[in-house]
Formats: sequence, structure tokens, C-alpha cells
Amino acid sequence: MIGGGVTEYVVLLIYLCGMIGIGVYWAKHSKTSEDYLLGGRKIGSVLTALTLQTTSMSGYMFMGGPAQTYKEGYFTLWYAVGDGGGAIFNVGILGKRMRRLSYYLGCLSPIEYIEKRYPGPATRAIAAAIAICFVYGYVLAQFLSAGKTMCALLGVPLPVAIIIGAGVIVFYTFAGGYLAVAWTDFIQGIVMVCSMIMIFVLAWHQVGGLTGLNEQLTALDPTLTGMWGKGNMYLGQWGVVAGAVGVYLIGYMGLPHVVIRHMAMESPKLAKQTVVIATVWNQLFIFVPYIMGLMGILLLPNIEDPEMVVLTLAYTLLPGVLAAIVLVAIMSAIMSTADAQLMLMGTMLGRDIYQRYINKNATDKQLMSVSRICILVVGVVSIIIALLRPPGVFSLVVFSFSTLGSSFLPSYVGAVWWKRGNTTGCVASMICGCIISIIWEAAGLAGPTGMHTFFIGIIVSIAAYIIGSLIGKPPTKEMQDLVERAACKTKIPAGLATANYKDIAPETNGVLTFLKDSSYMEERGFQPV
Amino acid sequence: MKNGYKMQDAFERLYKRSTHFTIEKMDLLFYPYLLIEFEVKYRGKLERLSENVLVMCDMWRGQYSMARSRGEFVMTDVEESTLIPVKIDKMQAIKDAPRTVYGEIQKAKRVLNIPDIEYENDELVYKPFFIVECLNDDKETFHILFDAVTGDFSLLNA
Repeated sequence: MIGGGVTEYVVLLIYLCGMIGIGVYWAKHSKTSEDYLLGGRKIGSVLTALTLQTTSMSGYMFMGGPAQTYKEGYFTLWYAVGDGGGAIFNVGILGKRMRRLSYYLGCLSPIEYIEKRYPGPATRAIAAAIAICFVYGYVLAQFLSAGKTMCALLGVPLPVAIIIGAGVIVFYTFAGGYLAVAWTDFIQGIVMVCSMIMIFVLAWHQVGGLTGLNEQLTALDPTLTGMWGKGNMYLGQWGVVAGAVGVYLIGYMGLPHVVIRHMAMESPKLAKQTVVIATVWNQLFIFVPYIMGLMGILLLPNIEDPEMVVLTLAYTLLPGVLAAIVLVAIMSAIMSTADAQLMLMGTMLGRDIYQRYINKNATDKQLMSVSRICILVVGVVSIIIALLRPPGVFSLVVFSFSTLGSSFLPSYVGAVWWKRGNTTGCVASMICGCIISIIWEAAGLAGPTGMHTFFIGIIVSIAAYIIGSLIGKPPTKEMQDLVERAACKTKIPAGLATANYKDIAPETNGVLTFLKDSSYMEERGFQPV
Repeated sequence: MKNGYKMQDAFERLYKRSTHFTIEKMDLLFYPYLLIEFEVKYRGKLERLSENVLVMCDMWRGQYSMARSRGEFVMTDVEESTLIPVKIDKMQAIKDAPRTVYGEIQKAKRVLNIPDIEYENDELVYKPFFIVECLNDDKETFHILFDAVTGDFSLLNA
């Protein structure tokens, strides 16, 4: 137990009450299923950027990442290099086009998006099965992490910690839906970056800056500052390096709970701003924990648990209240990922299972209520399972990222960048990506072959997508036209594009919805919008 | 609402911005709003005040905003298919609108006491827009939404 004083309890209590307050506030603002599941597609660039990044970064950034650097040295920064550019790839490649296409197809969930882009009975079944299974594993692990963190840091008994930590997440997600998730993520993102920078500046001073850090590490063990890991453990294994860079550089594009953020953007035009904000946030946040792992080697040479490097540094270097804020930041990192995954579970169960298979004529109100109930049920069941702590939960999560990434990435990217991409390619890629990732990870083939699980998974999945799409029946002309429209290659005359009045943006969205759902354009001989 | 911009005015305003496109088609579309008037009574630091405020409820999307003035209205016959249907329940809109008034008053006046907000009247009005179909120099289609009251416009599918 590192903390456990009154200050920590008070700071954590204020934080948790704040999160609950946000949930209660947004509960009153969700009137339609689109409001509840996608924030009414009116999320601005700052909110999108922060919810996107905090959802991507779990408690791993405060605990697992620094611990890995503590053990492996500079090699781990390959992950940070990829992660630092992740937002540019994720929003730059998918953001604008996915927002448009999801809107044209009228999708509320990332699985529904896959099914409508690649129509066929197998698509949604396979996509939903993979997503529900692995995202649920993720939710469970995040709940356990939240409990374990509170338990380790405050000395609260684990069952109580799980009930409090996970209970708050379930409550605000259930009550406020996507908007509550986005706003809590926003606050959590600020807490995370501020606290990380605070400790970093002080630790940086302690080790004598970058020169001091490198000189002392080299004196200790020259391989710590090398690119192949401590003791050159990955010497010459470019497959491992490529996987380490690629896993976070492109991997997020395959995570349904991350890409749903693109669908909720207020306008495709916000994608550029979102890239800039998310990338700035990334540069401020991502490298710091890894470098603190390196600093930990010098400042905390005898630490028992390397996962506690950041927190121990915080309690060593910062006064009580600020150290308690770091504790809150760790909870923030866990909660911001868990809430997004829980939200996605509710969306998938409501939209992709209930409305698709159980009640096809469900009204908007019914869909919203069912999604809410699903979030509550999934949340409560997860808490119960987390309390029982079954063996093997964490091992499922270990390859959740690689499996989700490998299964969905080619289909999400191909959906908007290759109009020839079709159902056969999508199904083949999901099946091959999923199976190869599970086999590779379960058999522990990454070490002997020098090929990272994500690296091999994504290669096989992309190959399957391309081959399947070339063999299978091309998408309909309408679908190909939609993909082209999502690319928005139409050149808008400069004078019109720059005089795009923001004052009528709400009406523009309303009119677009109306035109899409009515026969107004067709009756008057207009081209479809 | 009375449209300050007729079809010809919209043509001119758009062509003024650029000549690298042609307008192929243009038609009217009416957007529904419920204009709700409230009487707000509140006590400031020294004085008691009372004023009437207007809230506009977007009856298609359920969003609220304060209106500066009532504007000009005309009664006219229009084709039913040009009206965007009302999706929001009128009574619910009247019930929810005071929240917007509270928010605005708190932002603007920093009043200490919660003001009394009393419903006065309401009116369903429709704001005219033009849907404009255009072709660029490469003969590719794009659409513009033109606000026939203010003359503002926005690209529909950008």
C-alpha cells in the first residue's frame, strides 16, 4: 500500500462524485437513441480528440508501460514511437471518411457499420461474436484493474474496491450514455496529462536531464540504451520491432470502441482539428511514462514491483495532495477505457442483437432503454465475475488488442479506401485475423519466430481481405458510389467552401437526416445527398 | 418565417461567392420550430426585474436556443412534402424549455435567486430553406443548404 491517507480518500471521493455528477447531468440530455449511443453525432473536435486518446490509453500507460521500460530499457520506446503517431494514422485515415460513410449508411454501432458496408448474413454474426467476446474480456479486465489499483494504493479490501471503482463506471455510463463517457474522458484526459507532466519535470531534474539519464544508464548497462532491449534480447528481430511500432501506430484503427469515436464527430470537417489536438495530447502524454520507467531504474533501483514506478516517484517527489492526484490519474486512465468498452457493449447488444434479431420493429425509445439496460446488466455481471476472479481472465485480455486489431482493421480501412472491398474479403479477414492471433499468442510463437502477434495477425488479415475481395462478388454500384461519396472527391469551389456558415450547422444536420429518411430529393429529381 | 431571400436572391448570393459552379436545381424546404414565450421574474442584488424571453425549440431534433426577437411571419400555403415533420412533443418542449432560460440567465446576469419562469404562449413556425443542387467544373454534384431568412448557407454533403 502506497497511499491510504485521508488526503487520498478525499481526493478520490471528490473525483468519483464528479464522475457521477457528469453521468446524472447528461442523463437528462439523451432523448433519442442517437443521442444516447453516439452523443447525437455532435461531439466537437476537442472532445473527440481527448475521448479517442483516453479510450486508447488504459491503466497500462501508468503501470505496465513504465514497468516494461524498467525491465527492457530503451527498446520499449518503439511502442511509444508508434503510439505517438497513432492519432495521425487513426483519425487521418479513418476519421473523415468513416464519419461520412457511417452517416450515409445510418449506423449507430461499429458492428452495424461493418454489416451495412459488407452486407451478408455472416458479417454481423462473426463481427458481433468477435467484438462482444474480446471487448467483454477487456471490460472485465479493466474492472479488475480498477479494483486492484484501489486496493494496492489505498489498502481498501479488493471486493469493496471493485464494487466502488467499477460501480461508478457502470453508473455514469448507464445514466449519461455516450455524452457522459465523452465528458468524463475529457476530464480524465486532462488529469492524466497534467499529473504525468508534474512528476516527469521533477524526476527529469533529479536525473540531470536526458544527458544525465543516458550517461548513468550506459554506465549501469550499455544495452539499456540500445535499440534491441536489455542484454540485446531482441537483437536483429525486425519483426518484433515492426510489431512494437505498428501495434499502436495502426492497431487502434481495428478497435471497435475506439473507431466509434469517428462516427460521433459533429462533422467530418472536424477530423483535421481532431488530428492536431490528439497528436499534441499524445506527444505530451505518451513518451513520458516510458521515460519515467528509465528514470525509475536510476531513482528507484530496488523497487519490488516495477508497475509502481510512476506512483512511487509521485509519492517520493510530490507533496501529498498532488501525489493523490496522480492516484486519481491512474484511476482515470482505467476508467476512460472501461467506460468506452462498456458503452460499446450496450450499443452492440441493443442495436446489433436486440434490434437485429429480437425486435426488428423496436422504436427509438425501446432501443435506448434496452441499450441502457444492457449496459447495466453487463456492468453488474462483470462486477460479479470480477469479484469471483476466475482464472484466465487476464490471459484473454493479453491478446484482445491484437485479436481485435487483426480482425477488424482491414475491414474498417478497406470500407472507405477501397470500393472493391467486399463481404467475402471482410469475412475472410475477420476469421483469419482472429484465428491466427489466438493461435500465435496461445502457442507463444512470438518469441521463437521473432514475429509479434499483431504483426503476423495483421499481415494474414490484410492478405485475406485482398484475396477475398478479388475473388468475391464486387459490391453493388450503390455501395461503390457511397464509398466514393464518403471520400468526398468532389471539388467544392473555394468561395463556397470557405463561406460555410457555422450558424446553420444544427439545421444542416437536421436537414440531412430528413433528406436521408424521406423521398424529398427523389420526388423533386435531385441527386441523392 | 418570412423569407428575406427569394430564389433569385439565393442564386445571386451564391454566384457572388464563386463562378466555378452552376446551379442545377433549387427547391424550398421548411424547418419546424416551436417559439415559446416565457415571463421571467427574478430578484437582482438591488432590484426586482421582469422580462419576456423567447425560446426556439427545434421540433425535428429537440434542441433549444434563445431567440433574440420574434421575427416576421407570413401565412402561406405550401406543399406538405416540403415540411419537415414535427418529431418532438409540444408539451414536452414547453416543459423542457425553461432549462435553457435558466442557463442563459445564469450565464448573463449571475443572479443569486432562482428566477420564476412562467409560460406565456407558443407558436409553431416554419423556417424556409432552399436545397440547392450544384455542379462543379468537373460536372460533379454537390448540395447546399441556403437559409432563406438570413442568407447563410452550408454545404450539405461536405
